[in-house]
Amino acid sequence: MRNVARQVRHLLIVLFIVTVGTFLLLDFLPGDPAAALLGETAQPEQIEAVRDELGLDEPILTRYAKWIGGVVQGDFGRSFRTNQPVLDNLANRVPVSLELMFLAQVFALALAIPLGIYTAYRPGRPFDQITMTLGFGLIAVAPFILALLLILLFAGWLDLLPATGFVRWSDGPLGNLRSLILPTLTLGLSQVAIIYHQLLRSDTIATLQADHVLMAKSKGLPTWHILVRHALRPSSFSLVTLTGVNVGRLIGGSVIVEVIFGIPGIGQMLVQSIYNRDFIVLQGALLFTASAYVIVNMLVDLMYAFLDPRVQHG
Amino acid sequence: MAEDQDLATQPAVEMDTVAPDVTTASEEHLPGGSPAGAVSTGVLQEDPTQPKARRKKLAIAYWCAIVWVVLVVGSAALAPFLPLPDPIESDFSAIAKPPSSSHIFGTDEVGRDLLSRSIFGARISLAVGLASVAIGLVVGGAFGLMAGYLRGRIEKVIMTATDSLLALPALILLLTIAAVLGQSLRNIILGLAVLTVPTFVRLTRASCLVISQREFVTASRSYGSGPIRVMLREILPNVFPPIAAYCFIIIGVVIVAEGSLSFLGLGVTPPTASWGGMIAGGRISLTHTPHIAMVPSAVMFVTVLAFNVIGERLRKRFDVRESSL
Amino acid sequence: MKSPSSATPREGPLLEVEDFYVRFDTDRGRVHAVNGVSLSLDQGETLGIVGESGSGKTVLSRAVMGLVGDGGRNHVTGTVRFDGREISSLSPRDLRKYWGTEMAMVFQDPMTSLNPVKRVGAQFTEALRYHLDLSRREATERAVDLLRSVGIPEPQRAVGRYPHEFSGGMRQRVTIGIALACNPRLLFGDEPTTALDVTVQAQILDLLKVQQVERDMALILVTHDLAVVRGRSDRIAVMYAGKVVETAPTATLFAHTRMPYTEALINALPRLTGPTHVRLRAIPGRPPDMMNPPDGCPFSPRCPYAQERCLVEVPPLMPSEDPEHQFACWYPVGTPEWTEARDRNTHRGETAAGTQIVKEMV
Repeated sequence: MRNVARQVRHLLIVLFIVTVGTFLLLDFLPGDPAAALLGETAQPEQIEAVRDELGLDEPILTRYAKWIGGVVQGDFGRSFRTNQPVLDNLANRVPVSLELMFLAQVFALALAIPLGIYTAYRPGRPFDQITMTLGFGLIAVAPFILALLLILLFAGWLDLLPATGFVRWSDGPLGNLRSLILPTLTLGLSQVAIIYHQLLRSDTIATLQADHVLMAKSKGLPTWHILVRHALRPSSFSLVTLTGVNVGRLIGGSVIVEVIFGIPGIGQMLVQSIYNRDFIVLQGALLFTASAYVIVNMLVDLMYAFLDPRVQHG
Repeated sequence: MAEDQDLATQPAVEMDTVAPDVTTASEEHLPGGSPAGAVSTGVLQEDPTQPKARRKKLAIAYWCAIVWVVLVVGSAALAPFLPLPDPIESDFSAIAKPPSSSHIFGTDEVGRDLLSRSIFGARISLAVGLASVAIGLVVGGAFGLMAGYLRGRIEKVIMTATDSLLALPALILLLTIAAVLGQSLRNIILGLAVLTVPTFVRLTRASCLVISQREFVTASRSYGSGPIRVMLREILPNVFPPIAAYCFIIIGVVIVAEGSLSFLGLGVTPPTASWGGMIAGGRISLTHTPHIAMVPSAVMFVTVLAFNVIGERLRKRFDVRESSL
Repeated sequence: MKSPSSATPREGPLLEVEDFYVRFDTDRGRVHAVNGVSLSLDQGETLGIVGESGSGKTVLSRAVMGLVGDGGRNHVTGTVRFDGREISSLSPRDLRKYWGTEMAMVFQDPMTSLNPVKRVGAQFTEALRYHLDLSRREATERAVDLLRSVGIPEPQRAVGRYPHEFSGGMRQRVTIGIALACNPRLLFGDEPTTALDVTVQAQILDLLKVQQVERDMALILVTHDLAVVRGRSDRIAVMYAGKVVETAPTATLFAHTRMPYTEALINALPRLTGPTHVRLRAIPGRPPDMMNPPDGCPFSPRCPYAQERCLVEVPPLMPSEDPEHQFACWYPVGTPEWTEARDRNTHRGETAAGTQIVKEMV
């Protein structure tokens, strides 16, 4: 429990640094948000009026205090551009990013776990060499290139799936899943599945050298039982950490994938707010992204106790 | 004679394993095959247990990678002097033409030569990759050396700063930096350099922690060398080679990051050629004229792959483990 | 799953090993770990296999059981018969039916031979449920009984614990219980006490003995320590460089030691009786490189009695007047040839292999 308290304190410190840092950084944004908001033809008086309305002329400290005070009460402010509450915007987008993250992780793990265990069981065989070489090649493919390749293949040549566009779950679960197939493949295949596979493979190879595996074998247990019930769990510590890191990252959306496939998630929100110099929105999205990352990492640490009983006493 | 007395008197030292394979059963049993080769994480590990043919294949891949990198670096450096069409000039008689004898890589949607643009784009990618990794190496290396050798409060401050930098999504940080500082080549290099710093800090610190324990460091200190002298004369030469090997892999990562930035339109401003920008341009008519996006994609992929192949091989040679990160 | 062989005892030895070789291909060359070993063991009998590090005894026991199989970089040849049936030619799948139910093994280090992330109970029940087709409840009850019989206090609670919650000695009791779970007829103890505190070593050995007698089980006790097997085995086989160099009923081996290596091992034992100031005699040199075994007798470079013949001719394992007692030596200790060899070496100050003779060695 003391551990949890320390983690929470760490979380608060990181969030404070993140909010102050981004607030300061965004203050240096070139271009006047008010001017950007009103367009090229705006008169100086209009701009002044908007600046006043948005409180841009107040000292930075006052603005920060106002903003953080609002955040604590659940008010993330309103967009300069659309006047929409940032929290509403976030609430709309979080489920989309979450769904994409979930599908990509499930896909990556479903691919990597059986492959990782099997190749660790038979390392050096042709199958292992082929998967490792393919993986090494795939890692060198930039995610946006992979996305275009998949679009070209599945939407262009095979004409099976939509190239871009997102269908909400409420507009039809089937269409929703269909619209997420290519983003999921991109996100899952680019790096994630490959690195999961390599990590699990090398850790499992190490576990299979352990005495307790030999002991399990000497009990006459079938191979699959030993691989799945004996070797998998002790081999999965690093995999769990990395999955945690990725989940934490992807809750905050994947910028490239969301932009390419037109998915209205947090990543797209971040990029749009940068294009629009809509820094209250950017601020809110960053706060969410960073907290998600830190909180998930904290949960992963706690999960070790479940995976490795020795941790509870350590 | 003393060591043989262990035979009867020191029970715990029994290690009845002449061959490392003892705990390993045969291929037909569990666990599998060869432990020596088994612990590799990368494909390109030079595994002596592997058949000669495979090792030879890896060596060929390594040399191909070197040839490619030399080719790309050379043509990028000499681009203005090469007999190439202007990368910005449009040829309106050849718009979005697939590869042909007059344009061997084809032309893009406004009739610019893709070979020429790929080579000029390489200038951006390589300049960004090499420069930001160089800056990251120097800055990150210096901080890492201090953290790893001086320890104490300095280490704490450096590592906390590093961790905070890692808590923000890299691409977002990059986009923000690009938006704040403006989209110039210099700013992109600086932004990416900032992103590579944490990696180098961690790498250098980890190696430094190990090296600092060695006798020659203690020896050097014992005859009165100051900390700066020890760091520069004793530790640096030992931590440098493995970290330099790692640079190649980071260059690949940086090239991808620069590509993503340009792809999102936040890299160098058009019409200057950059791989990411070219790919983004080709995306619009992807299904009709796929070559516009695929030519720079292929060039970028092969380049990143080549850097990874070289980096992986050097990294294995100097044995920097990922776990030390 | 039914046991592959019937429970009714049959005539003849339980385990027969003939002309057994194990070789490993490594990056540096081929390791000759076991070089032509033959053994036989009756139901209920205890055989001690003794040798230094690298003598091949652990490899031998694992390979006999089939845990080190033939194939890939491992080369295992020779025949192993269990209860009259040749098991060395069985497929891994068929061999597996013997593991746990007919043959089981207790490993050296209880700290590493239990799965750290599985509860102790589960490590019992998985084998019980797989081999004996017990229900979860029956298997757990059985596990509790077994834990009690190997001397674990509060066995009902112990099944829910993780291995790290036990001390080393208790953990070894647990692994013994697991090995015994499916009533094997042959138990391999691979240095079962080596990793334990001296004070618990005897307890564990006694536990093995009790269980062995109770179950009329054959036991192969692999150890580097003659003292471990001295009072607990019916027969002893001394291994050196992958070969059995002397084998005899335990009492005979100590009373009429023939092989100089065995003699050296016995001399290295601390004695409880007799003057306490007697120096333990260490064996000079080190075991041979198993990658390049020497010509002639493998012990000759370290043997104080080595003659020219020992360097060129490998002595076979020969029976003496007692057919139970076999040894591989050209100049067996206690024979007239040996006296002559000893005197010659003392006289010239070195052995035929060029090892200096120190007075206390002879």
